[in-house]
Amino acid sequence: MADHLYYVYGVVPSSIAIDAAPTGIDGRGVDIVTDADIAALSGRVDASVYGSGVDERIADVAWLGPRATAHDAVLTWASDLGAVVPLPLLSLFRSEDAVRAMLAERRDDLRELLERLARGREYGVRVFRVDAELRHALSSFSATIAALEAEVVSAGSPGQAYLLGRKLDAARRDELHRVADVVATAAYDELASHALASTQDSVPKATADQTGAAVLNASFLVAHGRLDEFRAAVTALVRDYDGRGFRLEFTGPWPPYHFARKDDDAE
Amino acid sequence: MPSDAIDNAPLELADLINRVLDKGAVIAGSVTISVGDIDLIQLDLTLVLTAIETVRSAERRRRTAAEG
Repeated sequence: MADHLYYVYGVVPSSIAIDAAPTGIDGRGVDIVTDADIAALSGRVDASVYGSGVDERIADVAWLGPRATAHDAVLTWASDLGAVVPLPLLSLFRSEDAVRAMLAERRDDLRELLERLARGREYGVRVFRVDAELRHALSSFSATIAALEAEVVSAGSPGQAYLLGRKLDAARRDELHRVADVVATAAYDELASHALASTQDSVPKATADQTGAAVLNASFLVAHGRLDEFRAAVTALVRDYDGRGFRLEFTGPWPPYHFARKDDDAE
Repeated sequence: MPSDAIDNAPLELADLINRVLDKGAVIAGSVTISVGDIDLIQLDLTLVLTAIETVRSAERRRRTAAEG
């Protein structure tokens, strides 16, 4: 087996100014392998590191972390300059010819993707529940809770108030989840209407010690000319839910990790 | 770097690893990349995600300990 393998970060237009590329995986240089107007951002890596045993090494976050960071840094650099189709971490080829063959074989798809990705950049939005706040604000989202709260206030006797209070607690638990779903869907639909494309990932599972579980984990491809509009939509949501039980987290721009598959539009 | 940024690093790293491993264009059909005649990289995603989950759990325990 050869001493080196070719690590491919992603695919870019071959006109990219590669001399300014940052250092890649394992401190190695990043170059391009060109096929007509498209090129693979790639670099040589040690075959001994990525050969046998790599499947055990990648399970070690201490090993994987710096590589994931370097992979992301190269793609972020490229996406600051223009379109890039990210490849998954550890996309390896045995030779430059194999890289070129991949480019030639997928030329049409890659060109189409680059054209689409050149129109915008990826941003992430997560929505988290803030349960301590939401419990108090629930009546502003839920007619059921508002009605029950009014009943508790106007209860005729301490016994009746106690029973209604119990009923209210149970209703709050149910409504918390329903309201969170409604808010997540509304936020996603609103932001998607300002984006070229959008997609949702599953939210991390809630844990007992978290102050609020994530209810939305979404990514958006936002057109260059509409970023201010998208930001304004995020800001409006932040204000709308401020103090009412939901917190938003806005990240990016990211390399277009979520929009690099040809059939992603339908998601 | 402020210390809270360091405290948050493992979770951010886990997020980044999820993005770079799980997303991106599918070349050669999956994350299995052939080198020569051998499937050299057979990413065991379950294994990786388990490892990430371990980092997250450790981080959560640590935070709980710090708060409690």
